[in-house]
Amino acid sequence: MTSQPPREQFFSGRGRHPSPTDGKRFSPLLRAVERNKVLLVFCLLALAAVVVDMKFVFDVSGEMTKADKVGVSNPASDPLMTVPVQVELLDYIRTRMSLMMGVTILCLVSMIYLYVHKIHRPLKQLMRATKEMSNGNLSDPIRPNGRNEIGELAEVINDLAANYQEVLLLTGTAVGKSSSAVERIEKVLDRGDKSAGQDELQEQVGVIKRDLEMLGSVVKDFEFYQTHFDGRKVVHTARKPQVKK
Amino acid sequence: MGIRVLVVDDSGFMRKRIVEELKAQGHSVVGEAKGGNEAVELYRTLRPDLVTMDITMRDKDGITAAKEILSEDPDANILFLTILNDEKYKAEAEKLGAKGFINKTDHLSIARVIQEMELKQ
Repeated sequence: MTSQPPREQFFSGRGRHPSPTDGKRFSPLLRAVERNKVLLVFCLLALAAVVVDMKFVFDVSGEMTKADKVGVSNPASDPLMTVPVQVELLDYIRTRMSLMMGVTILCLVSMIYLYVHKIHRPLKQLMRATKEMSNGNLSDPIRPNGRNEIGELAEVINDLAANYQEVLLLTGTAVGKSSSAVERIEKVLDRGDKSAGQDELQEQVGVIKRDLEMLGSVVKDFEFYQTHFDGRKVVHTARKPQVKK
Repeated sequence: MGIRVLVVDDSGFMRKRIVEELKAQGHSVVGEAKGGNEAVELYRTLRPDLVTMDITMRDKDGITAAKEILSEDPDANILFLTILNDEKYKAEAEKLGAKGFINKTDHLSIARVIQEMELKQ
C-alpha cells in the first residue's frame, strides 16, 4: 500500500481543500491572517487611501508655507501679487482635500463596519453551525440573521439539513418496520408450522420487500459524486464529459 | 377527476416525491410550502381541496399550522403526512379533525384517503 496522508475523520475531512497551513505549526497570528484575508486587504486599502490623502494635504500645506515665506520675505519679487492668489488657491485646495479625506474616511469606516457585521461575522457563525451539521448534529437549525446573501445561504443550508434528516429518518423507519417483520418471520419459522405459517411469512416478506423498494427508490433519487446506485450495488461512474459548445 | 392539493413539507426532497405521487394519481399540485407559516399564507390565497401537512418543520410545526388553517376555514381538508409514528400526535390530529395521519411513504393510504374524500364530496 502506498503511503498516504493520514485519513481524516469521515465527516470533517471529505472534500476539504488542502490549506497551506496543513501539517505545519504556524503561529496563531499567521493562521488568523489567513482566515481573515479579505478583511485585512480592505483595511490595508483603506489605510493606503487615507495616507495618500493626508500626504496630499500636507504637501499642499507645505507649498502654502513656502509661498507665504516668499511673499513675506521679498515683496518686491512679486509686483503682480500672484503669491497671495497662489496661497489662496492652495488654501482652497487644501480645504477641499481635507473635506474629501474626511468623506473618504467616513465611507471606508462604514464599509468596514458593514462588512464585519453583515458578512464576516455571520459567515463565521454560519461556518460553525454548518460544521455541526456535517458532523451529524441536525438538531439545531441555523437562524438566518438578515435577508442578505448570507441569510439566503443559511436557509439553503437548513434545507440541505432537512433533506439529510428526512432520508435518515426514512431509513430508520424502514429498519423498524422490517425488523418487526423479521421477528415475526423468525417466530413462524420457530413454530415450524409449514402450512399455517405460509400466509404470515408471505405478508411479512411483503413488508420487507416494500421497505427495501422504498429505500432503493430514495437512493436512486440522488445523484452522487463519481458513483451511482444501480438498484443492487454502488457502482463507479465515469466523470461526465465536459460539453464544449 | 383530480383534486387541487397544497403540499407542505420542510424537506425539498420529500416534497418532490409527494408531488410526483400526487401527479401520478391524477391530481394537481397547486402549491408547495416549506413551513407552517408559508402553509397558512398559501392556503389563504390558493384555497386547495386538500393540504398534505408534514408535522416536524423548522418554521412552525404542522399541528399549529393546521389549527390556524382550520380556525380560518373549518371545512379545510388536512392530511398529515409524516415520518412520525407517535400515538400522541395521531390523537391530536384526530381531535383536530384531520382527514388522516399517514406515513409519508404509504402511497396506497394516500390514494385511499383522497378517494374517500372525493366520494364524500
